[in-house]
Amino acid sequence: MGVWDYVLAGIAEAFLANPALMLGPVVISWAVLMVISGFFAGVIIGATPGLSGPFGMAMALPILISAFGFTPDALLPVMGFLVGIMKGATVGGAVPAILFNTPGTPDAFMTTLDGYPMARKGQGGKALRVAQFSSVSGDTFSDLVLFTCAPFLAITIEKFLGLPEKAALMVLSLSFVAAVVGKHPAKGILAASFGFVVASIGTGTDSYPRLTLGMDQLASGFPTIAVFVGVLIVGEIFSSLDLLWRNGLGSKDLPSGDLGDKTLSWKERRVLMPFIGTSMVVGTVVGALPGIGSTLAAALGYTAGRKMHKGEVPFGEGAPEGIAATEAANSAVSGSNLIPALSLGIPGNVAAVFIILAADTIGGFNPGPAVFKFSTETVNTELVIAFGLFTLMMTANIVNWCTGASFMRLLGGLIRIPAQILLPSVLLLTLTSTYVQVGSMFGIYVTLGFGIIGYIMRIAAIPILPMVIAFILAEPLENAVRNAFEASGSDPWFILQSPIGLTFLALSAVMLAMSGRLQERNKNIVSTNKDQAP
Amino acid sequence: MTKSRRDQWVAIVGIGLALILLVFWIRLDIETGLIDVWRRTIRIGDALLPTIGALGMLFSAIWVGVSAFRQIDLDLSPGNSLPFFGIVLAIHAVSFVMMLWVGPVMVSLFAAEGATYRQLLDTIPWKYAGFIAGGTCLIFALKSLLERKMTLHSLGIAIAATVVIAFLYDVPFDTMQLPPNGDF
Repeated sequence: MGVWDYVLAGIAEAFLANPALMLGPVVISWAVLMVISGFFAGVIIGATPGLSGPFGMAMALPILISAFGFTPDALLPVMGFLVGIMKGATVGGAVPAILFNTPGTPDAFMTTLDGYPMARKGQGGKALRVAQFSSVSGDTFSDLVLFTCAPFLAITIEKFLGLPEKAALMVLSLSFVAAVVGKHPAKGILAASFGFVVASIGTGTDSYPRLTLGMDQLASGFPTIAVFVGVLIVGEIFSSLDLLWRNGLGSKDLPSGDLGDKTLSWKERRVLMPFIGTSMVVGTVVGALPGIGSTLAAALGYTAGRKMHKGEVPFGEGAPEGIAATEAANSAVSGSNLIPALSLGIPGNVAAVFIILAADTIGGFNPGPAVFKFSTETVNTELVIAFGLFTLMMTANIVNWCTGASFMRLLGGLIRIPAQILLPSVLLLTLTSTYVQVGSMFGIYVTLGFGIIGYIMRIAAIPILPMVIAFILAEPLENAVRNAFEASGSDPWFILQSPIGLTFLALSAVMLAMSGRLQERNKNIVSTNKDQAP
Repeated sequence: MTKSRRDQWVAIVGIGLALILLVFWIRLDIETGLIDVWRRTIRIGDALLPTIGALGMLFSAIWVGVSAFRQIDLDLSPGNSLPFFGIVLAIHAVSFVMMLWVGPVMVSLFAAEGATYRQLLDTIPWKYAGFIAGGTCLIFALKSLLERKMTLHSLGIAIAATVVIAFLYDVPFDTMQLPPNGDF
């Protein structure tokens, strides 16, 4: 099969395989149905303060797997739904940010700076349109970069890197995440090291599963979903409960959420384009680097936009350009974040963690360089799935272009679930999700245990992402090191024999040494913009 | 708590955990060493990955500790989270006990003589008994804790939310088991 044959096979797999509905000659596949459902669910989740895309993904994953099973046919519907949630939540986060001055998702904070003043001026509907137009532009651009860059990156890695170099690349990626995430590089390393220890439990090549303390339940290691849901979701819920407890429930008198002027003319769109263009490039570049996240991208986009802006209304006082700069940047992160996830198997953010987890749980698709092997003799089914996933991402973008703005306006006055009801309900929903996948109370106990760990890590300002990425990378890293060591004839310096491997390790050391400055700079960019909030 | 005191605790806990791993856990609970010889082939043993993890924890915790002594001290958020979190954990414990045992206890009290929970766990109302009781307890207690008052309105919301969650998982999917039914 040639390149175009794979692309066409991927499109056919997304649109025609596994039909759900047949309306005369029109076939709607489960994959398309799920990505559209996921998108709308994601907008609702993003528009609900207190929820975010990863919450929705964690709750949906066990249901999706139970519904579609563990066959290769399940991959596209399940991953499509998760991708839909990821995209929908990104755009939906702007709704409460603009109408109620409450960011639905953390990366929508910058949107409040200009969105809420616009809503107070009776331009809430226009602000939502600006947010949706900028968000979908950034998202689409970022996806196109993903489709072109991920295969090239994977092919380059597969062609030029052997096992020692791949091991060194994983160390470099992890060092980068540890260096840039969180407030102190040492805490990033601490989290990553802890992730290695947790991943060691119940695994290994010896017949005796290591570090299990003789417990049979740990013989296969901790259930991955329980660890991720615990540390990422339950830990966050505990942290939010604690915050609510200490700060009180706050005022119940929310602003009216009046949408006012809802129009956005072509002339206005043209004015926004330079801001959107700059921010989507910034967001895409930031998103391609694992661990940095959309909050920094939004802050960088906003800063760049403010420097470019010469309009009548200054940034921070209700400038549509401010919303455009922020939303284009934070939405452009979501597509390019999948570049390291799909081509290297290294998740760049929490959403990518759940996509990798879905692929890992169902089987038949292992994100990494081998996915993009354009084999001509035999069909690489993983590559077909990858192109099917790209097709679904574009389908979600088309749905977003066509209906996103109307759906966001529709949600404007609807979602105001009080946190004291929302958080306990989501907690029960999350624990139930874990149970139905693991099948025993042990899963709930592990989830709760890691929830406590996640909560303590948040109190101690220890970043969570390095731990999660280390947990995912531990097995492939250990296997690469084992195989490279044996292939080198048990040379203990095998990794240093390769100039590329040596370069990667040297870069890791430089990265960690310079991490203090990097974090200081990132912190300054975010806090400068927050300080200028009205 | 101040920032430096918090980081000192991070360092103490990190160093303690790393030392437990290096001195006891890895040595006693892994059968191969850092390097293993198998059929005259030298290969990497199972102890290497956790040892690297533990050394990383030790090194970084010391780094955190040293930084904690150097940094300018800042007062962190007011209030102590420990009592609140203790209550939250107690609520979880009570809810899980209810989830596990309300079903079997109800069967022993109200079902036909000789019937066991295992036999009835796929039938209404027994299949929902533990989940509804435990889930309602969890939501009601957490909501009441945050509002600092217990009301019938909260109880109604807790029951409604739990029932919706139970139906969300149980009605569309035959293969899914609500907690705690998979354990019996």
